[in-house]
Amino acid sequence: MDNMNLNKHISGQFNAELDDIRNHVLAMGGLVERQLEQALDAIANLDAELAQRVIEGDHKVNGMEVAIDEECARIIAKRQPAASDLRLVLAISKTITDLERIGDACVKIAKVALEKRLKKQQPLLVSLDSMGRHATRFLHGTLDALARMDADAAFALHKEDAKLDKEYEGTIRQLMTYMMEDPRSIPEVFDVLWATRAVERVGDRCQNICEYIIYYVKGKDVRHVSYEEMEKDLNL
Amino acid sequence: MISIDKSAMSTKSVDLKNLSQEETALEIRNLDLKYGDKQALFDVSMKIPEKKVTAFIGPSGCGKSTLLRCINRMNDLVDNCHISGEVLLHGQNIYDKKVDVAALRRNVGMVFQRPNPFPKSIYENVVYGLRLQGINNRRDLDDAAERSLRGAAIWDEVKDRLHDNAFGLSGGQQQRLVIARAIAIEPEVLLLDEPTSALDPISTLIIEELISELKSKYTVVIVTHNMQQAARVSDQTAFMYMGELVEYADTNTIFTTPQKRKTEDYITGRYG
Repeated sequence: MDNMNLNKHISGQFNAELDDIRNHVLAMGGLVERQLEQALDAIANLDAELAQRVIEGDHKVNGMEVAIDEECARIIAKRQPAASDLRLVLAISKTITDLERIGDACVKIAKVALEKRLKKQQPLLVSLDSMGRHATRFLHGTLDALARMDADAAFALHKEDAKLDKEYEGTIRQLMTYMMEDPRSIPEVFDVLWATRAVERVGDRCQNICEYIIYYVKGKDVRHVSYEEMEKDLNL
Repeated sequence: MISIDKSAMSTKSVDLKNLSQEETALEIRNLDLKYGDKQALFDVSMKIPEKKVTAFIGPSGCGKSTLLRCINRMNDLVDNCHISGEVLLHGQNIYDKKVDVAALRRNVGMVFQRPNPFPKSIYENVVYGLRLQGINNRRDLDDAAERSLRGAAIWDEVKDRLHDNAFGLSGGQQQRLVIARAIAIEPEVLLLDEPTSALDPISTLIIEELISELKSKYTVVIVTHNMQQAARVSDQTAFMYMGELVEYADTNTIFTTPQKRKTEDYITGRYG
């Protein structure tokens, strides 16, 4: 691709439709980002009210997924998009699936935050908090790259996930130590484990979205390929 | 059926740069064409593979029909038309002085935008080319007529009225009749110049279906204004713009990840 600063379509209506789904996916991203921040706040402070709000807010995320998917289907049926337009529609259709799953992860975290028994085991939540902040940054960066359709940023972010995975492993080891030291803490540790797992999955979802951004901009499908191959594909 | 073999996914169905000689039906080399002072084609070079469908797309006046006409020397009929460069059919330059143009056109058949049956019966339309070749044996002509009409997917519709006037057929049927007439003389290459632009959507689909069948026997080159049609029927697509061949690659690449900005603009409707 020479570059992605494309001209406008002859059909202004088509332009408007593509702009619409782009704006909607960014709005959905913003919503999911807020859900994640609130879910992590809720669990850090064991704030049941906030957790409840996150759980109730998920239907908005789900609704947006369905609405944007319908718009994508309509564009495909009416406009038969090709090349970058087709890749945009496909990338968006996939991105919203991952965003919706991040929304589900937020609900999981919020549900853990509702567990009253965690009150007596607050120290367990410390490393989750740091992981959570990392995941939030990752999601924020990903949405930023999505807004700018920046393949280089997406590639750099893609590598971020390895760090989050490392943190996840560390947290798991820590939680196992708790269990061994005090088997009575096992139910609480399990609660935290579910939340930790949910946070880790956010990273995987962000990674997927980065792949879709690269697919849209570069026209290369970089799923399931090594970083060396990716670099070659992206001419880095 | 979806193949998940990674190596199969990465190799393109046809590697156009490395077509071996046997697979190349036509090769165009450094073709320039001028109508008087106006240059219509600029240094076009490409290889057209055998028994595949190759589509030429591009805006009006980009030279795609002109290029198509060069393949069976239809441009010879145009005054003031100057051609340089080569068009090789199986390695033989068709612009060589020794080439018999009538023989060339027997080998490279052509179908035009508007169906142009002769004012004769359906049967006589199909066997016209054979009669010209001096074949008059009734049995041979009957066989050829049936074979060609079947090949053009119109036999069932006309078998009971072969001796009716061809003008009684619908536009879509007339176009298939013309294709039957073109394949009756068993050419190697079939040139289709916007064959469906005067047809309704259903007739268009029937012709498109026919094109996919024709490629098992013939090398098909099609000029079309309908990009989706190029995407549906062709194996290779060439995008032309202002007399230049901008991009030529397998159709999947052109329609999902074109490499040139101009191609991208054109197929996504940004041209203009």
